[in-house]
Amino acid sequence: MTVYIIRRLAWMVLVLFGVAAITFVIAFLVPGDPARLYAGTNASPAAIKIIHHQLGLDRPLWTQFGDYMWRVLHLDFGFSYRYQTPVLPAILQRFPATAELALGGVFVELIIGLPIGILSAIRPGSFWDRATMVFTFVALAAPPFWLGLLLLFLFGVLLPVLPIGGYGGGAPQFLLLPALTLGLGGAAYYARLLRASLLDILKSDYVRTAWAKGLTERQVIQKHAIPNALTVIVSQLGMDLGYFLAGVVVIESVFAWPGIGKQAVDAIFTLDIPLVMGTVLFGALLIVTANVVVDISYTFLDPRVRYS
Amino acid sequence: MKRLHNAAMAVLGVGAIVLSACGNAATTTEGQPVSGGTLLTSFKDDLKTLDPAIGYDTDSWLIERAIYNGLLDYKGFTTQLQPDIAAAMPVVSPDGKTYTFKLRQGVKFSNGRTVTADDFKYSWERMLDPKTAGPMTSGPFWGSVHGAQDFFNGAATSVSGFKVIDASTIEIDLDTPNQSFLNIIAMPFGFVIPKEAVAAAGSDYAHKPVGTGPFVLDKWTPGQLIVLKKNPNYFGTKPYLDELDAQIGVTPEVGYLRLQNNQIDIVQPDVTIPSAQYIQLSANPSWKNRILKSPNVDIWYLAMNANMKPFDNKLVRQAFNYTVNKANQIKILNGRGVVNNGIQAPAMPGYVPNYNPLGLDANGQNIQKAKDLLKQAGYDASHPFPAQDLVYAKASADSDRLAASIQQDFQQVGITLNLKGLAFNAFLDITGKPNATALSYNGWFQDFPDPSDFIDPILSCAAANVTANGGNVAFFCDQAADKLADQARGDTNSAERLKLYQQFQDIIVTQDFPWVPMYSTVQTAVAAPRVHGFQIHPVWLFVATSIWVTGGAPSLAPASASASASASP
Amino acid sequence: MAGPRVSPWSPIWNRFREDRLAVGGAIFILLLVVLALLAPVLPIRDPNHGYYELLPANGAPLSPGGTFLLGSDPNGRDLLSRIIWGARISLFIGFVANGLALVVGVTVGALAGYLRGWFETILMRLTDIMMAFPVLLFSIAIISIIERGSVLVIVAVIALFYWTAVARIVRGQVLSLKEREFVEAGRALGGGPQHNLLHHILPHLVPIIIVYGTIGVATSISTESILSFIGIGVQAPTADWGKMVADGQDFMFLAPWLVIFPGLMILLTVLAFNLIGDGLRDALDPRARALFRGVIGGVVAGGAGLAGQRPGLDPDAEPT
Repeated sequence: MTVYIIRRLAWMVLVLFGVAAITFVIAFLVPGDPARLYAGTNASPAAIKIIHHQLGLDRPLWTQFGDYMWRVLHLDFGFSYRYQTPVLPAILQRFPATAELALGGVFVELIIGLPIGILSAIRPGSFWDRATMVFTFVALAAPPFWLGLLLLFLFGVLLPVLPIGGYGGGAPQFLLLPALTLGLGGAAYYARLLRASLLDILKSDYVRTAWAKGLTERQVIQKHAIPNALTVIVSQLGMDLGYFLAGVVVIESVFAWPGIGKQAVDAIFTLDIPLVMGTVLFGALLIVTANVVVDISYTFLDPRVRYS
Repeated sequence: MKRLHNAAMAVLGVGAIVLSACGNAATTTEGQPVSGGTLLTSFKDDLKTLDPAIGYDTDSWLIERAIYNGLLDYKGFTTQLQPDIAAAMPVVSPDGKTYTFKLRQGVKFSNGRTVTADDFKYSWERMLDPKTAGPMTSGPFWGSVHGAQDFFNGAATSVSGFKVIDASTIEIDLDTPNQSFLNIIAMPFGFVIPKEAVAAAGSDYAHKPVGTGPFVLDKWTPGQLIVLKKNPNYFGTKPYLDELDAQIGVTPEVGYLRLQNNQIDIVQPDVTIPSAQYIQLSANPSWKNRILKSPNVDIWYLAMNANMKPFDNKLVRQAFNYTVNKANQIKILNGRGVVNNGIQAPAMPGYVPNYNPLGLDANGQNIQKAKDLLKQAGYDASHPFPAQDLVYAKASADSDRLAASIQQDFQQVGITLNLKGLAFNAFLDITGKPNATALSYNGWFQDFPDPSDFIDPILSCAAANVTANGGNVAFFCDQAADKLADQARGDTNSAERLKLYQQFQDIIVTQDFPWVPMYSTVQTAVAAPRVHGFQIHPVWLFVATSIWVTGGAPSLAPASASASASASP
Repeated sequence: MAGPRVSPWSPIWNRFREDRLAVGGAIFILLLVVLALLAPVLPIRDPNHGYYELLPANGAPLSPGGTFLLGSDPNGRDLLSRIIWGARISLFIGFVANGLALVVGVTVGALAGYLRGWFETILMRLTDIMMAFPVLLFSIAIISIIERGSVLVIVAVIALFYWTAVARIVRGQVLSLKEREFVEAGRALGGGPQHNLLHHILPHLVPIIIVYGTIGVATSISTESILSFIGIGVQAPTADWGKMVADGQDFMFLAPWLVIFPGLMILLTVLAFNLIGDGLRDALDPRARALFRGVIGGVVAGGAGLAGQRPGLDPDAEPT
């Protein structure tokens, strides 16, 4: 067991190293002189030289790489050109907004997806089931930014019952539309996933045994079907959270939600490469952590998985 | 001054011209000013800095203006200078090289300390110090101060031209006289800051500003909110507002939607009303009379680098001058502009009205002549004109549209343009590098409404010689024309001066063709009904001290039933 | 015994035909492809030409009906033309990016599953690393660094992320296939590993490849629309559905058709491909639905992954 955990952690380190290395290479490929970007568009050549030295850009590539890795290990993700502050604190400052959105999105996914999935598995082929299928297909196909814009337009402008984007200190009416947009696609996915899993489980031997033993449908579902299906959901949920936390770029852009995704997109257009790369690294960290947490908790949930 | 990156992002100007009230319809100034209240405004992006030595964009300047002061400021909403921290206008020596300022007594920083002449010397030297890495360290504007060059090169540790005579007298010595120097002093780079605040904040002074201004920075949550509060110890006329809140991360488009829902007072005042919202508001009877307009002293143009093929052929550059449909550009800007075939802006001294020496039609075109010139230059079906990149800054939604129109114009004469839209930083970088860009779409906004500002930084030989961040993006240099500009700069006879500048303009527009001048813009803004005293300031665009508010505060809860004019479109 | 020769594909085709939604999707795509291919010769206006002279002085876009069937954008360009031309871009990027991802993913995944050993380990680690990236953000970063707007760059970036999902699924399939009898039989009969791979395993991968391929096109189109919406996909003035939505969002109140129509096209196209993929899955082997559930879960996840920034994971994959 501990061996497994250690192996997962080692995997985590390896993957993050790979991510950091690739990030460095990409950042290195940026055309233009970072020192110039950092110094501002009107800085004198003398000022640029000083900054060049400060940023360590006059040293050989390998040294820069080693330096970069060392700094990353110490959670120093560089210095933002535009904001003139260190990257990681800038990211952490915006992170709570993204976290709130991520949690909201997950909440929507579950609230909408689970009941729909369960219901359509219980009544396969019914009108309800077919309506669900239609909903899932459309929700999965709709471009999230389009959906968000339509909802924004509908509820923010036409019937002004919700604010037009923004954060509003995290008040719920601001969170509603972005979380809804974010979660709808996922809800559709969970609905299908749950439906498929449940249908399989309901056909399996031990469920049929339970029926033979005389349990009611509800008991069968509650005691056997759902718990098993849920393990699948839980692992996916963990991944989702990781991904959402990594910065939901599109939703944040449409709703002007001040999270790390929007910050990174803005940073890209101002060529603030350290901030972009820092966000990528941070996001990867979250995703990988979520992965590992899910894997480890999976071993607690499902003993069959423990040794592999 | 600053190269403008889009029609929507207005930048500031410093000037000595009186802009008449034409076109600057004031908002409702009815009623008596009321003290108290909070004004809610917004910015799209977080401010880069509030360090006056570094800030060089409209957002920063807007807030800086509220929290700092300098020696001089503008009178009301004109471009006439008046003393601010200075007790009176300076005494200028007859040779124009020495300015002596006496300071007002009792001006205090918000930390309680009284301002002295030493503070000005400190602030200015810090502003010019290469270590501060601000934009003025490369010499524009302050380069003629005695000892500045040595200071830039590190040969001196202070600027000898800044002389503290006594605690309340400071003297500035210039190597050569400069008619616009007072305007330069009035720019935010001349604001005074206390050295102990810089020492205390370390490298974070940009976020912890301390000044003498009518407001102080109370809170700055990066990426979210900036709060200014009234400074009770302000030496000048106290503002009416108690507080000014600026929400960050609100695009102008969303901002103006909120404005119509009574959720905000003024939307990012340094950016003109975005196209869609302008169309909406102009059609809305409750709002259309509240829209303020103010002609900008700016010029938008295509720059062609004569050092790069095929623009080394003068006939080509000339042909380009007959091709652009300038009226369409203005249509894309919703009519908020005027065709400009010259290099000076309307409302600038020496501007020649209806200047059209090339005989262009109302659209600014003569397609047949363009085609003829291209043929003369040797381009035809068998030898087609090579495709060119049109480099432009993507700074607003309009940018792509404007560029697309230009692309279409050149198709008419058989030229293919590939659109290369860049982030503003990258755009400045690549156009400022010598001979890296052959064709670009540029805007230039006044530092001060004087022809010299539209020549020295962007069309002079000196400006063509820089290795980076050049303002002369055409890298144009005509020695003979340059001599005219030099002559004009020091000329104290203003009529003669203006004539020399007009001659310069003629050379550019009818002989050398480094540019295709296109248009000058009109700034627009609108405020919520409860806002009074708001006008577009020709330099600052937004002055918090003139504003007062009445009625209930806007809330972000939508469609609050407020007593003010409901804005349902 | 004599009898009519029946193609092995006809039962599949029959089953597919019964799924009306899938058939509807197929018809839609067919029409779209035809329109897209014929666009240059159709009697529609130049999508990039702005009819400024038809716009009012304040530059307001024209509404649908009248001169322009679907209205114009603020540059006076015909929305209908732009939508048709936009289909070309979306379909091109969708097919090519997906095709590229499939080729690379199947090759690598099959080899990894078959050969195992260090090759498999390296591959798995590599895909782990690729999947750890916040995909959208990283694509945006890469594209803006290299060059914005080149169609080929977009194709490459989409393929760059999507192939990992394909590889993992294929590897999983190959692993399970390897244990099956016919493969062992093949080995017993003396066929070499290459022979085995090509003749016994690959054919069994075909169903997955087909289904993945179809749904992958949907994913690619969806991702491309997101990239263009953000602003680093196809550049102005080229007509592209995602970009059109982005350009139109400011005008949403004034001219909602600028947002509604292009977005609707994206939705319908993605939907159509998803329906076709689903139909194919059912048609190819309804009994092997369990086999596919993981695949579809993975594919949908992969699809939603790139588009909705979720991992392209197979819920049934063995933890490694």
